[in-house]
Amino acid sequence: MGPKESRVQVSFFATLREIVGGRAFDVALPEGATVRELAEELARRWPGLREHLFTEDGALSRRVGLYVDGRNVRWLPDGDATVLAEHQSVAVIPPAAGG
Amino acid sequence: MELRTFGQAIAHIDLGSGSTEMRPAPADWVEKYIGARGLGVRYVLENGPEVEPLSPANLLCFINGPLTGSEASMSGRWACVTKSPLTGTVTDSHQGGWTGARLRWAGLDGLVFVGRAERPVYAFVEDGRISLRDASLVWGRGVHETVSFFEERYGDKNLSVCAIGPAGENLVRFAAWVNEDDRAFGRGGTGAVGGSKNLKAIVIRAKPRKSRVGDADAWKAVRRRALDAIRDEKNITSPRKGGLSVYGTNVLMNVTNQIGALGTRNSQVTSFGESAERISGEYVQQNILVDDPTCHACPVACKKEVEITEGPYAGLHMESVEYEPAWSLGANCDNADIGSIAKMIDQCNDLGMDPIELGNALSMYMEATERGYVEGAGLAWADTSAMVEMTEAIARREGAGDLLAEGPTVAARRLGHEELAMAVKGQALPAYDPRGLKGMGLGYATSNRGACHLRAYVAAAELGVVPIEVDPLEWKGKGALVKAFQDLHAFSDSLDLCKFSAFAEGPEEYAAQYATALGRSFTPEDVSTAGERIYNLERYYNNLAGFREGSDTLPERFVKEPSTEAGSRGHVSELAPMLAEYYAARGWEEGVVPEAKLRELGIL
Repeated sequence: MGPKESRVQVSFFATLREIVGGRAFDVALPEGATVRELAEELARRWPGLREHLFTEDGALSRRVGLYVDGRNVRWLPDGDATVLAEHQSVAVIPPAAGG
Repeated sequence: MELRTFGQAIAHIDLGSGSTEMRPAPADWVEKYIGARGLGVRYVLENGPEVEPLSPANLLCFINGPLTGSEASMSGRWACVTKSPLTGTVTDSHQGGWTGARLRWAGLDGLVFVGRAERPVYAFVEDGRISLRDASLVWGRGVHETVSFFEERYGDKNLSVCAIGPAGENLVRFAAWVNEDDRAFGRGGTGAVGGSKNLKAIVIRAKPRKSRVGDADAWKAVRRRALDAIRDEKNITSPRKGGLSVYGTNVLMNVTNQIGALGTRNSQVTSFGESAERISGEYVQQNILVDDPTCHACPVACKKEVEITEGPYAGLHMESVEYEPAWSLGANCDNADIGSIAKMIDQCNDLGMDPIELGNALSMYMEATERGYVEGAGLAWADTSAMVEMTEAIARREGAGDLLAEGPTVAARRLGHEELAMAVKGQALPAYDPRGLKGMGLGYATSNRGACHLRAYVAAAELGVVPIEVDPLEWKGKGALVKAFQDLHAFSDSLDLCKFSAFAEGPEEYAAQYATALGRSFTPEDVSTAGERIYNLERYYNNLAGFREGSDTLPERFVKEPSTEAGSRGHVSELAPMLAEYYAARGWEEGVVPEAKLRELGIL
């Protein structure tokens, strides 16, 4: 029996949609995976995302926001170590502002 | 075109007598209040805060910034400043495109109108001179027809037209001025002030002119630095790469929806769910976008020109589908039909109305209908054909349109349910729900012109766009942050560089361009000081006009009804403690500027 998986729904917005070629995807992760591990998986699947998700020294970028159920992980108690639950929604949002 | 002489060519027009006179702005006003917003407010204050907004005695000022019409990036804006017939506060609104630049090229820095013409007139500006001419042939026409009329009369090359439509003529409290590029002086009802004066349009003919400054090499260098920042691919302003350039302001629809800050059904809930995608910037870009127009000296090109391809509005070609009206006429009214949204924005451009206020009037009326407070048919959520009809009826003050033409606050009050009006100081809320973006809520409450997202665009920090990151759901610290943004924007609005320059530039760039253009010493610290002075000047006006303790509020919905949607679930706006922080940061006493502060800032 292999390791247990959980699936999260990841949605992309604005200019990131062109990189991933779509709006939303189901992503399978090992059970208990963190937001950071999700980011690694996204960058592995879509290499063009890496420069948006990570800084040069490998930290999660503070420009593209990873939102778990509507909250940017940098404001969650565990930050990018937040553990993702089955069927949780993650939104990947580039900087956006306007009028 | 000598930039150092800014402020010396202000035309004063008495519409009653028909006289025009050129008078320079007082030198210390230009020094202290910079131009555009700040200078306009100083004129309006001098005129007295007790005037009735729709009386001949109210001033209607159109003032450039010191960089308007120059080669500085994003310098295609000018200000309309008056006492608002919607709020009773001082108000300033800013318009893009080319009209302000063309006024500068025509040799003028501003137009100050007073009085009322006996019959409809328009102002014609050319070669440093202004004359009043008969507008009877265009009175009653929409802005689009009016523009076409003047282009035929004067030629469409090197011509700008800024006009009111039927809404202004009928004194709709949120009527707007709109120009040949469908850019508006949107908020505050400045179009009604024009209508009350029988002033139909301002027509300007002038060829582009190059700027002259004292140190041409320094001028080139500071402009280059600002342009490099705007173009930097890390910034959302980056042409064809940044989100603002690619999708326009409507890039925000999906974002605020995700974080539970997209007011829906008159802000009864804070998310539009799956429907937000259908009215989003991404949807527009993929399905109906035909062009990305821009303004004078702007590489960002955030405007989105669209063509509707299906439904009852198929064939409509218009600009621009912006976030604010897409929200106010969309999610706010439970409407997910982009075609009808484009139609109503186009109607607002032609009839001359603020679509933010319009959408809020409609959503208030929809909720009142839902709750059984309206006699007769009322208006149902998302009834798009009825919304389009009501838009026309409001501009013409027909039927229930006459009630809604007073704005959502007065209309709700007359229905006996003012609690349904989502407004501050009588001006309706914009598209960021205060429960999901708490700093924005404080900005609305303390805005000097009524609820406004542009007085303190702290969303740039709360959404992580500028390098000051704050938690949108944390209220602590928002007092000082809102003050800082208000002061910065007060300065940039008085320079009248586009607000979106703040996503790439900051006090250093603003100070450098201003100092070089005008040949005066000016530091980044001076930016904050001038901005603070201008903000306090406006507050002083409002205090004298009767807005004192207790006038900085938010509708109860945002303070008492917790959000039920993901991202902001359970949250309300903690307005009271945020206000306390803010007043402490400002040195105000419950919203009133003490005399000592006015003297400290050189206002008295």
